[in-house]
Amino acid sequence: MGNEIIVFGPLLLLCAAAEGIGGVRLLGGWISPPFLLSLAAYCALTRRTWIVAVEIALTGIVQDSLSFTPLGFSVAMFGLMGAVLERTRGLLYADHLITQVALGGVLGAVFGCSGALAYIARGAMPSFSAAIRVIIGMFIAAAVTTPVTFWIGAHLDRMVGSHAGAR
Amino acid sequence: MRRWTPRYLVLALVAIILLALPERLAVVLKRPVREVLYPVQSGTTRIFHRLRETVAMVRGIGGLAARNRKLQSEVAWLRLRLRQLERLETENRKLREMLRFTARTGYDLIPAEVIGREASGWWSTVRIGAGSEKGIQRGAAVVTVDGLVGKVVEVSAHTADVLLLSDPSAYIPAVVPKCEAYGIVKGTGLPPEMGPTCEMEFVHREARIATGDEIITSGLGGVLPRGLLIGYAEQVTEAEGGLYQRVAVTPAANLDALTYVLVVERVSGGGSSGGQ
Repeated sequence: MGNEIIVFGPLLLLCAAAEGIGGVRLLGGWISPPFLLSLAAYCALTRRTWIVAVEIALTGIVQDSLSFTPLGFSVAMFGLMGAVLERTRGLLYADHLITQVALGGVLGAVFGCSGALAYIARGAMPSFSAAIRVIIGMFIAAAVTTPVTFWIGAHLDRMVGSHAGAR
Repeated sequence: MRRWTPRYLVLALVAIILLALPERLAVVLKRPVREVLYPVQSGTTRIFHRLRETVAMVRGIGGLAARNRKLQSEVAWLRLRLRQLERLETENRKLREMLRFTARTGYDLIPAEVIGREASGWWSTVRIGAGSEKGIQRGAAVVTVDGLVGKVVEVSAHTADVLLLSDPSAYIPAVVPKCEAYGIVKGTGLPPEMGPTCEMEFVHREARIATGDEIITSGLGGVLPRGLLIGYAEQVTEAEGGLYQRVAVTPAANLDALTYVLVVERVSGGGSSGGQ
């Protein structure tokens, strides 16, 4: 458990820094690489104890602090995704690059889609083209960030000898 | 297949509690995380700026070296120094422009560096590396030397979030000074390639607005001072129902290339804040 915290701390900081530095111009809009979403997925797939709930909650709070979404929104979304991932863990071969790319893409699109709820809740109505741009943009961005996050996470886990990550 | 574990129920409970918090308290809770991330965000942004400059520098040097291999090292060094000086000169010019702009407008302006963009992709906001410690308050106008960029929506000690003009939730009371036509400028959420970035709504249908007319802040509502240049009229159409006109607006400031901005601290004589 201690090792998992040693891995998670720097990983969270790294992902927050990577996501917080701005964004990339994608499909005419700005998309921040969703490293924190990928980190939540990594935690849900590699951690087994109560620590996964703490890690996902912290990741969600950092995500909400970096964005304009209401505090708790990303905690709920990451938690929901984590629960689904845990239930389907046995069906996923998460060590494979193609799985990571596909998983990242799907999670990115779902998270992008869910962001519309927070956006509407804050009193703004997204245009159809803007919604499509964000969802596709998040799909592409998360498909790229997920394998990277999984790779770094697995390496850190192996370095400190965490059994959870070094499967 | 596994059964639902109680840890996710606890997580759901945490999320519900956080979502139910009053907005003021939620903002207070976000602040410590923002403050912890501020040096990281600021540092990495600076590193990225330097990297971009270095890549540009190396490209320049590479082209020169191909032309004269014999003098490669000497030319490279000279070019490097020249690029450094050019960068300093550009920075110097920008700062001088900012100083002149401050004197010209009569507003007290706080310079700030853009250190990040909104992470979810939905809102058009940027994070700047200056906050309440420098006197920045919620609702303050944010400008560049070209024109209005947006307004401050969240503040912590060292950072502030700026809602850009291009966001559909940014409502800016505006006026076309040429014909004193009042309206509200709001973002469309569209990238410039796909349509107008902003629109001015609720403009009286009799108002005679031409392409290229200046649109400035009206000062109505007392949030933003009057006289800040928002942009230029691009196209005028009749709104649904025929009661008003709608004006497509091209922002004067380049919202996609923001590195330094100025936050309007308070009005010291150049413009009047509040209604008229």
